[in-house]
Amino acid sequence: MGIAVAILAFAPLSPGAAVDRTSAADIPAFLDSYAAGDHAKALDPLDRLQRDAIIDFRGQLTGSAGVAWIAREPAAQIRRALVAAAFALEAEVRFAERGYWSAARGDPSCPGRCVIEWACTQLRARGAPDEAERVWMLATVALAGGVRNWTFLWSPITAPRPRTRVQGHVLHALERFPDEPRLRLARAMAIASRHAVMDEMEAPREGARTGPVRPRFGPGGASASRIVVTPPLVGIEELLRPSSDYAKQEMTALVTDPTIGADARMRLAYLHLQSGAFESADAEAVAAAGATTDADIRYLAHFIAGQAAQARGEVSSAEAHYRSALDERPRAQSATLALAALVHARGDANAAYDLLAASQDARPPAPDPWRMFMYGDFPRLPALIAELRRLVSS
Amino acid sequence: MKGRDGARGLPPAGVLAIVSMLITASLAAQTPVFRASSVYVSVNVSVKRGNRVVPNLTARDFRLTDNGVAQQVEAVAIESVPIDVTLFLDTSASTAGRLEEMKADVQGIIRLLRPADRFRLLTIGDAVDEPVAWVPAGTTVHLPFKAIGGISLIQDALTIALLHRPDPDRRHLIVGMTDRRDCGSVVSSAQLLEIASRSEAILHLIEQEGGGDTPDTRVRGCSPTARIDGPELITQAAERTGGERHTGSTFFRSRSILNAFRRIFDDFRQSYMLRYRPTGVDPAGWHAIEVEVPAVSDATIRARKGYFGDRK
Repeated sequence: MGIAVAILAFAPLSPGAAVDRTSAADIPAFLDSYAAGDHAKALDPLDRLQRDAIIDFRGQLTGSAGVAWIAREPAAQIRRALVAAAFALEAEVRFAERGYWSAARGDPSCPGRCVIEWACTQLRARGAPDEAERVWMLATVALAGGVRNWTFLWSPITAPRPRTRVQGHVLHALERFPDEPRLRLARAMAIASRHAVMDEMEAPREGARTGPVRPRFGPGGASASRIVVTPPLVGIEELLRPSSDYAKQEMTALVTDPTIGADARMRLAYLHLQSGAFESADAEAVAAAGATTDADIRYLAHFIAGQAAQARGEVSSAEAHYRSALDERPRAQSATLALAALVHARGDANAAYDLLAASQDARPPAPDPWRMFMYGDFPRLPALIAELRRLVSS
Repeated sequence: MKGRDGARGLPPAGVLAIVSMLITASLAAQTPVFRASSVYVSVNVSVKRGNRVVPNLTARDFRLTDNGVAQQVEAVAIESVPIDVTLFLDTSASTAGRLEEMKADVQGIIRLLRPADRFRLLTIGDAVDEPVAWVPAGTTVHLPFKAIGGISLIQDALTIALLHRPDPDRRHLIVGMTDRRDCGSVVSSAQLLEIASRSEAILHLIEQEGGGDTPDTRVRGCSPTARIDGPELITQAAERTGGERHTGSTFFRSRSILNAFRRIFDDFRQSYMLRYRPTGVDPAGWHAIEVEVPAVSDATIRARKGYFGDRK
């Protein structure tokens, strides 16, 4: 899985004449094009829609237009529902890349997640789950990770405890594919990420900065090279602990899975790092690196181990881990920066310069798994969409 | 550095040769200070009275102490020394409303440079991007960058800027347009401060409160490495290098980045390079530097706050 591929797949939009809006009458034509495999004809016009037109489009698709198109040929409804769901997914990918995942107005509003839920309903109504639905589910989970909408995937912030209303797209997916390891991992990632963003209201908003709102790492004490965990704000740590422990518990349950075990263990290491359990973080990260040949997972595991070592003040160990990470993904910016900062701090400026120069000179930029770590399965999205297109057309 | 020279598009050899001849006499045998075990320490010093640079100062006009010990200073006027300029634009979502203005200003900044100067641009994407690698002054560049949401790799970008090794006959000026609100950097603000303390570059920050958000950005996320006093540490990093943070009261009578840059660049070009061989001080550890110009009583003097000595 190449990160560069993921990024390239979302290259800047091609220029074209502005289209202010679509009408419900346009949607069957888009769907027909998509069903015929002419994805550009179906999707490119959507790139020119602006905010209000996107909201209108969503309302039309999930209102009568989409359902009417599916029902138009009763004998082909199963495939047409798949086409509509795949088209809806790809439309939302386009909108999300331009920052419109959360764009909505009115009450009830229908942002991107609403369209995905509508499409999910159409898919499930087809009957027994199949491979195309599985790939679609994985792709939608990847998209939600890309826009960091963890509440869409898994709502409750603190668990386990009784909830009167448990929502979450990944739960729908697991109902259909209870043994799919990547969906189980996606659920654990969503729980862990919900823990990280801390706040029910931290779901992405249009143009808003998201991510952790509280500091988690503090000043370096005697050496700036040392990462020291500081209490965020009074009371916050205690508030977090139940969900943090729950996230670790969910991730731990997956570490022996032959498919996603190393990935889960690496993410467990990150949870330990977040909560200040540096020795556990190091142990899990080292175990994760040893349990897989996947270069991205090994990179991330070594990077996390390096962070844990820095937090313990073990600078030489941190350096070794960052070098191991760079063995997996040479010249990746994140480990290069982390290593260069340490090398520079111990006085070897020339080595630091050379490290950074090599990374900066890479054309195209070297893949960097850490820069995509916060997006769940988003780096897998282009490959999943390609597979979905293949299944839709077969 | 070998790998980078080709990408920089070096100025004509003749220009470099003339510049080298001009500066060779004064900089001969100089060992750059913060790069390796050094004999000399070099300090860029800006001396101004009000908004005007005080010209024609000589070594005798300066009084410099290193950890409180007076030093014997050589002064060099360095207007003729070519400059590597790194411009960092914080292209996070909060600055998205000014993107087009920023792009126009970048073109204007490149035109401001002298023939022997070089320019590069750093911005923020999914990582720290370099949409313009080192180019000669006057180059017309393509600027494809756009604002992104949810991530602000300010510390990482400034680290990349500071860890550039200019050729010995060049100086390095870094100008960062940023709101200093980091999100997701690998390098901590404390590390950045230490790196700045060891850097030869001069870092200036221009407060950039971007002109409003736009929804036209995909939401990114950041790893939790921020700290409450991070923005202040970023400012301190600039001050450690002899630069400073410029806020609206100073520069934004016109909000143009170009105007702000012009003023910083002019000051930098007309600054002095003081050079001395540290005597009477322990080489290791932090060396606090203080510079005075007794003959100009009302001068505003800006210089790096100090440097880390060789630990060996």
